[in-house]
Amino acid sequence: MSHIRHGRPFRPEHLIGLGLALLGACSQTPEKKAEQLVVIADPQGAKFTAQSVLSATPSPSDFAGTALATNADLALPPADDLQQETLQAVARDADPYRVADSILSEDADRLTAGS
Amino acid sequence: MALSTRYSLFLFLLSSVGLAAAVQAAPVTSGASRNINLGTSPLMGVNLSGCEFASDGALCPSPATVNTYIDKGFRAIRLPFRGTQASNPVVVSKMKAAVDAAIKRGVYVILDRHDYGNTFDPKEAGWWGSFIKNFPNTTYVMIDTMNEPRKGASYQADPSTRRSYATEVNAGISAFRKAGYKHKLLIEWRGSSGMVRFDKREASNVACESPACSFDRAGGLKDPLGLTMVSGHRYPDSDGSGTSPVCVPNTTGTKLIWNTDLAAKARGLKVWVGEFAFGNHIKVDPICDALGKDALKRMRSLPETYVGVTWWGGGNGWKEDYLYKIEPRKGTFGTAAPSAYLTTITGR
Repeated sequence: MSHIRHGRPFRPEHLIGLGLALLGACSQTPEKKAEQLVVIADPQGAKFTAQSVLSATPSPSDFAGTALATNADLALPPADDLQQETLQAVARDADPYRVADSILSEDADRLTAGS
Repeated sequence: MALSTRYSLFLFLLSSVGLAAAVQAAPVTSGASRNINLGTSPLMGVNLSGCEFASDGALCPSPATVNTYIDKGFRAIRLPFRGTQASNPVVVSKMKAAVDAAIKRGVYVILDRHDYGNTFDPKEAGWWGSFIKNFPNTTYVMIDTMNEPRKGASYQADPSTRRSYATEVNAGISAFRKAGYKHKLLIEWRGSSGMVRFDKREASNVACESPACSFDRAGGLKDPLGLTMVSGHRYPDSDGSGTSPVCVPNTTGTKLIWNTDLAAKARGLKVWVGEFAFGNHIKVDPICDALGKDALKRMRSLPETYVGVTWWGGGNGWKEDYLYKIEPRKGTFGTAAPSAYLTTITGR
């Protein structure tokens, strides 16, 4: 920022520095984060107050441009799908109607008994 | 200070690259299904179990059984059998009789190798290349290459051989076509061909864990004749295994199957629902009924994607108390009034 104040030409590093500052802000403790948010919301340097924190809290309209989840997003497999897959296979293996050559159908019972 | 700035710049660029790479690549459009057109879509079909129950083929559906199911309104029949039965001329003869009966009525037949074996590859194509000589009709006879495969190449390409599920499937199709066969092919996937897991939308910097990803990274599903579709299965119980009469609450039928149809549509592929069931001839639980009807509505809303469905539970060999038994007590199907469930799944 001081570079800009002193009239130096704009350079890409300025944006990078800003990005790093934002990234750094994200890694701060909640208290520190809140303090910095107040600074952004009140550039006049007003004293930190609960009201100033509220004014810095994002409202739904702040996310108006955020992409909504698409059907493809919503149709993703559940997070525990691997577990589901295992359960499914176990259930199938234990199902007498599905086991290969289990011969549990009605006719098969009759045929087996009669043979 | 200068060193610190450069280090910060490096970190920033590194994080930017990382963020950019964690995006899913665009789905690869395929022409593999472009020539599949069976008329009215989706076709309402049925699995006619029996052959797979007894190795000697004693329970294979007879032509009379096939005709009864056609009379009841089904327009496609999936015929499960075991690969080992292909060496038994008695079983093959019974299968041919059933297939011929369906063809005579203009009904499609899907030969379903019900082995839970390998995903399709050149070796499996060779097996089918021999067996399919018994069924030369390419208009009505289709091939379900392997029911719910449990083995085969991984979805992610092997770093040294470059082989993956998709490259093997494509190589299998290529080999089958080079042998001169023009039958329509159905391709399934591991994980019980679960329609909830066809596409996991893997980011481009992680390994593939789904068939959709595997196809994309292999340049798409490929069939020079455009006669191949993907085939998924779905049951509405909690684990999708089709072993419990209790259906999943608080969801919709659409959500049970849309993972597959959205991914297929994005790639230009068509879908056959090889197995689905939500009731039986005696009753349909209200929650299951709502799920089944909504899934059916979903399929009908996407006729360009859903070619057909074969409901599970057909055939006269099932025990009377089977969860998904379609027909009523043995010997009465021909004359019995259609159950509510039958009316729904035949689309009448």
